Amino acid sequence: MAPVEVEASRRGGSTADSRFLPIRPVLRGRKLSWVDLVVAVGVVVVLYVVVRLGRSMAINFTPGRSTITISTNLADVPYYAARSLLRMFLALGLSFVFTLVYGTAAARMRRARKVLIPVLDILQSIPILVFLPIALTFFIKLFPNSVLGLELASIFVIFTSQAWNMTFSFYHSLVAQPSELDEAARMSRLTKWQRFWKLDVPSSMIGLVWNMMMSMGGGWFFLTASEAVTVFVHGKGVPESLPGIGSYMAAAVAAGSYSKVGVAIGVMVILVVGTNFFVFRPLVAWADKFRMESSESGDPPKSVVLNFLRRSSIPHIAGTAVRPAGRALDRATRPFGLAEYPLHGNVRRRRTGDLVFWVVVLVISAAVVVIGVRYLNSHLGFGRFPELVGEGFATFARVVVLLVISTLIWVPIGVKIGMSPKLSRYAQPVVQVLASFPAILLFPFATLVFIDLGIPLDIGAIVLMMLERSGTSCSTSSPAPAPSPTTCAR
Amino acid sequence: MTSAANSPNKSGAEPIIEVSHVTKSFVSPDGSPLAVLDDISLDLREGEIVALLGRSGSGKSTLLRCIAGLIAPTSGIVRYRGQTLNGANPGVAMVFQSFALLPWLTVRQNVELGLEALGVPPADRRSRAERAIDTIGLDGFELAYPRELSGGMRQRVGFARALVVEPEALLMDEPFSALDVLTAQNLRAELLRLWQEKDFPTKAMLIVTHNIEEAVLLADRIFVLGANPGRIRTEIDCHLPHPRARHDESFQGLVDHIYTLMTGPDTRPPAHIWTAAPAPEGTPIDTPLPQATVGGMSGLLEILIAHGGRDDLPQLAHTLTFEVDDLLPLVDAAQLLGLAEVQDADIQVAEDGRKFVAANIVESKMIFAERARERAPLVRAICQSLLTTKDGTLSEEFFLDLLRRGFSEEEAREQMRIAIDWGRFGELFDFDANTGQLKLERRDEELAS
Repeated sequence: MAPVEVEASRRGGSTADSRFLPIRPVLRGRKLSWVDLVVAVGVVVVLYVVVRLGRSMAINFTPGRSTITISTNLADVPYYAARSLLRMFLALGLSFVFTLVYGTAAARMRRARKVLIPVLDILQSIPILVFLPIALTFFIKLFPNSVLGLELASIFVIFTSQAWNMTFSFYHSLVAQPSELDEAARMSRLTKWQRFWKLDVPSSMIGLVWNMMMSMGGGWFFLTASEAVTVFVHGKGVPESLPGIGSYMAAAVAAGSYSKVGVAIGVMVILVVGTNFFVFRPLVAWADKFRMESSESGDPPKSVVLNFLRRSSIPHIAGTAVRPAGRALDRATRPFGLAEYPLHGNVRRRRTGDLVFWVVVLVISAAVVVIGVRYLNSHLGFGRFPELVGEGFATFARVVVLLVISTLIWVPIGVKIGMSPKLSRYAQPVVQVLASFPAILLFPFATLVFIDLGIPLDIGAIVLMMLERSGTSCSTSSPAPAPSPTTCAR
Repeated sequence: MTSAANSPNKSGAEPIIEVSHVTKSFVSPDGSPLAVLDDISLDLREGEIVALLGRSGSGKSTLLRCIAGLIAPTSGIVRYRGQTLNGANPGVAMVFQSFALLPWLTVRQNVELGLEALGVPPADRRSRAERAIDTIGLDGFELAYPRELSGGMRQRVGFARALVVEPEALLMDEPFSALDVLTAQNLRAELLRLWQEKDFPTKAMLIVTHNIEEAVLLADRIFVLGANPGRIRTEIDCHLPHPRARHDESFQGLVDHIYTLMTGPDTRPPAHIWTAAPAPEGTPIDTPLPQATVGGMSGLLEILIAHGGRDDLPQLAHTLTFEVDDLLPLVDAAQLLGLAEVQDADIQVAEDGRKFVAANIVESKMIFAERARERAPLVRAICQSLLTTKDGTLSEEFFLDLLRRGFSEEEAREQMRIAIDWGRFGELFDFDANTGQLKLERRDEELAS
């Protein structure tokens, strides 16, 4: 996980670590302690679960011939929860890798940036469900006789709900990198890889961690949607559900068992709080070392889990174990050259390159427009456009109203929380849970209430949209104790 | 890395770095080029310490970055061992004013970084880093993170990181200016001690500074840079034996000499920059306002009067523990407004200066207003422009646009800031930050007429 080798202190009682763990030197001299035992057992259990779940992700499945059944048996809830969680983390991992590659390309390649950033801007504004049919077709073709195709499609859809804000955050960190660090890296003649791993990733780490947290919240929102997939068999849609807590919830609603919906909601809350406690809180506390300010922070984020891990020698052992791999990577990437560019470029060659680049971009964009127009015309017909534009305006009006109301409610609350360190210490975890909580789950209940009260759904929709968004906006507007550069694209 | 192609120069020592006819200009917001460096030629030879001494705006840091190969000169060439640079200079390491350490790496990891980049094997890396850390006096801090260290200790890490790769030349960009006086003195002395050791692998050092004493303490040759655009005004050889004593007569003489140079007229052939008193026809572009507040100016004048109305500038700076960048803008401003006169390295309060200090607040505002309107070109331009409008208001943008022809965006804004500060004090005009409008202050007599 650590982008920098975990240089655990060989000598006892380093200045750096002793402030976290005064007892560390004592433990260091000993053999393995109970702390190590707990950590080791934890690691083994997690690995075992992941392997078991991984296996069941690839069972045989042929669209049209077999179906996946979702039981509403309470005993299956933990299994479904684990499946959903694994899916989310795989998607998050994918988003992370995508972010590093895409962000670096956009920040470091002058020409690529001109295309990559607008493309990213478009991608992040497309509702994610649009991607689902495309992804399904692709992945089912890739794995025709396995549920893996569906699984990957679902992961891909979650990925599309998580990646963009992380990528923007990384890109902005790279572009806003302090010039003296850039100069120091170039004077030190770092290779491209060293620059990336020692400077670019660490300097963006805090923003990345916060945005991962936001993204995970975003992922929960679309859990139900991403687990309910429609497979096309001979041109006919067949609804399928992937095993997961979202499908369980859908099945429970379908079966009319409100107690089971309640259980599912409870489990979801546990998952959200649990990932925060075991994953994101430690990550935030750990990422504090990547702060740019050169002074000690007044109130550094703390994590019980991270402190526990720091007491154990297992991270150190793991660090030592992967170090040769790190060195090999360092050597292997050396031929890619230094993180440096020529001062005096060949002007003519650069201009020619620009020309070729823009011609290619223009041709591709033109092709995309032509294909898109043809597709729309054959599947939809341009006759329906006025109607669609009208509906678009209705949506837009709802969004504006919701924006105004949300701002009126949440900005004062956010300011209040942000101004009071004491309040924000308590409010932060609550807000995080609220932000991650899939308000979509409340839709069925809320809809029923609106119908009962006779409120037209047009207006009710605004309230529902607000439910979905307000948690997130509150968590971004309340300044966290640690600097949270949530370049939140959401 | 061969030096066979080099011809011996006048001193006989090999030049490591040669800078010939370097100019650098940036593109100003309205598209016209803005010169920062103008026709600079110098060289750095084996066995010498060279100082680039200049005030802010002299482009000394830009010049250093050209020499380091971090930025390309607009024209002219920088050579390292005869090779024209096309990227970071392979023979140098750099020490930064802001230290530029990676906060997430320990002291040792920071020091090892450059060796890692060179592909030095881990064991070797460790021992070389240890040696550098010991040499620079960071023993015991190997595992500390930069944010746990004081400024002085951080800059030691900066030096260790630069020296561990054994560069042929060490470039330093105001390395001591972020440190307190005593720490800076201490570190300077240690650097000199290292330099004088026989097996010190670095063959030359180049330091950028705005501190005259620092330049005289360290350097064998001093290039005094002029500002707007930066160019070499003089090259001074400085062959006092080390360690140099501040109170030594020859040391003080040299410092005085450089002070005279830096406050005196800037004799560039086509220059029309003001001399002792500004030519009244100076324009806002060729006569920029010095970065001085009215309070600072009157403080300086009061101290001078307390010192008998006349003082030696180095002496004054020393008493006030000011550096040249702090003191000279005040001196320039007082001189520009005719409140003080400068001759050689001496400053003397002018008659108007005495009146200005002695007067009550209303009178001194009047004196100041009159002087500023007469002698500070930008203030004068603003007043005249405002008078021509019907309601006596004009947008700040109007003046910024004019200033951008000769200044960078930042400098233009700074000029406006100073002009507004002066104008407000003199009650010549006021500025509404919300609307960005400058407004003429009408005086009673003007209203009556």
